[in-house]
Amino acid sequence: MVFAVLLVIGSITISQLTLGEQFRIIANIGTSATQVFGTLIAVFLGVGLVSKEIDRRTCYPALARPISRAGFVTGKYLGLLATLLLNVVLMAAATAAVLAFYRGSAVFLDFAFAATFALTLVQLAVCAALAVLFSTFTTATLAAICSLSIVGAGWLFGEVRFFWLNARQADMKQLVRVLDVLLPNMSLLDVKEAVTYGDVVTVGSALARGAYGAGYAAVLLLLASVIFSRRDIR
Amino acid sequence: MRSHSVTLAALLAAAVGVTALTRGVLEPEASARGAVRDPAWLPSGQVLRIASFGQRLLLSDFYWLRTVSYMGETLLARSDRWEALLPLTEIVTDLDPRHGYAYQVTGSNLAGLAGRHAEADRILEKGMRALPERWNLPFIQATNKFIFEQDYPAAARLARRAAELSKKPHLALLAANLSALANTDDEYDAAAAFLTQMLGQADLPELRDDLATRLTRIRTFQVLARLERAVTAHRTRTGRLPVRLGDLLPAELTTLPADPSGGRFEYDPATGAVRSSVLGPRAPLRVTR
Repeated sequence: MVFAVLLVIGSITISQLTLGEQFRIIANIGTSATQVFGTLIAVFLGVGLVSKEIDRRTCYPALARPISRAGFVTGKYLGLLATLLLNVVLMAAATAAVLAFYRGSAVFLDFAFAATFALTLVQLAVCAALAVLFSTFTTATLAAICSLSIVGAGWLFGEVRFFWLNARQADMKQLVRVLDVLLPNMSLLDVKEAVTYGDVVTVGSALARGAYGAGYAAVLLLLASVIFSRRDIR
Repeated sequence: MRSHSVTLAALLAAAVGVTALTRGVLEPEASARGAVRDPAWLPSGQVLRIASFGQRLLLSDFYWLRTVSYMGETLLARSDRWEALLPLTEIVTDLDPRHGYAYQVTGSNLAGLAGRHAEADRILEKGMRALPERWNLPFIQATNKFIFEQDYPAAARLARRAAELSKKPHLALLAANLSALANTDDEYDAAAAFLTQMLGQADLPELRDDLATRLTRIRTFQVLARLERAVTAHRTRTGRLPVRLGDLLPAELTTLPADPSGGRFEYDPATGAVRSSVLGPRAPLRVTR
């Protein structure tokens, strides 16, 4: 986290190496660092949320109270989400401060800027939900590998989806329909180009994207709750 | 205990010394290895885009920094090896098709520094497809066509496009000059039509005056060019220059045209030169490298 903030601050130096358009380099480093470091934090904290509690048997006192297992998983997830929110807010503040220092004004601080970081939080919520889901039935290492693989596949799918849909093979289109349901299309939650190029992001678009991510995370969390409820943890 | 500390300090000093020494030897070699030499080793932008996992803008910036560094190194080395400039910019713009500055700088340098005109056209046309509203791209290509290739009709067409996109009627003046250099009837007609259109859009009186003056000049040059061609045709047909402009009737011209600048046409039978009494001879701006 500290490293990510330092990277954003250091982006001023990196931007001096280019010819023109230094703003875009600072903006890209800020938004990308938030995504990349946020994803790593979400996954590596998320995978330990349930599995470590089981390994260390620290979940027993909590589950002995009148708390459902679904409530336990949801509570753990919401705690992680609060950490991620703090992370995104700090990164957004660092990025805004560096951009304002570079520009000498804060004209870039508009709805698109806020929507970009808010949707980054939604991306991280999906990553955390994947990590929590896997942590309910496998080891922390495997959960981390699986979560990162699916997040990576989600990003990859966002890029290749268009090419596959335009491919002439009918089976590609079938595959896209299946993957549309299974994989999180991370590019739908990504509007960071709006910060780089000052694009307009409408409230409707931001809400629809946010609802897609929140819905996807909710499904994963429900699955995690069901799996953890049925698991024998004695 | 004391000897143990001394040994540790000696080992530490030796390790620091070895690290500093080897770094000094290895760093120049490592820097040279990092430089782009053979474009065949560069990855495909499309593949990088898929493998960027959502960070294509950041990756595009990384390759742009490499492109800037490559241009700097090539200039400093006074080398004429620019073969990696287009492939590097292709990667940058495949990753971020909206990186307008990359198209501009590369399009300008490929033509101006590297003399690779076809490659300059390729990257600028890619930029115009990706960013059809960015007027700098046709403007740079017009400059390339004008200065480095002396392709005046293409330069005039691109300058008109830049003027239209930028809503800068000043550029119409440049486009008109390029049309005058092209010296074809089609180009004069296109320039006159475009200047008339821009006159309708210009709101500053000074600019309107400039556009109107340039329109008169274009129309006068068009008629002068027509007269010059008629004089040449007469000499080809009869083997001598006409004594007066009236000799061009009826074989070369059906009527003698009036001077659009308000003066009259003056003819020198000794040289065959035609000029306007107001604007003088047809002498468009000529700048070549």
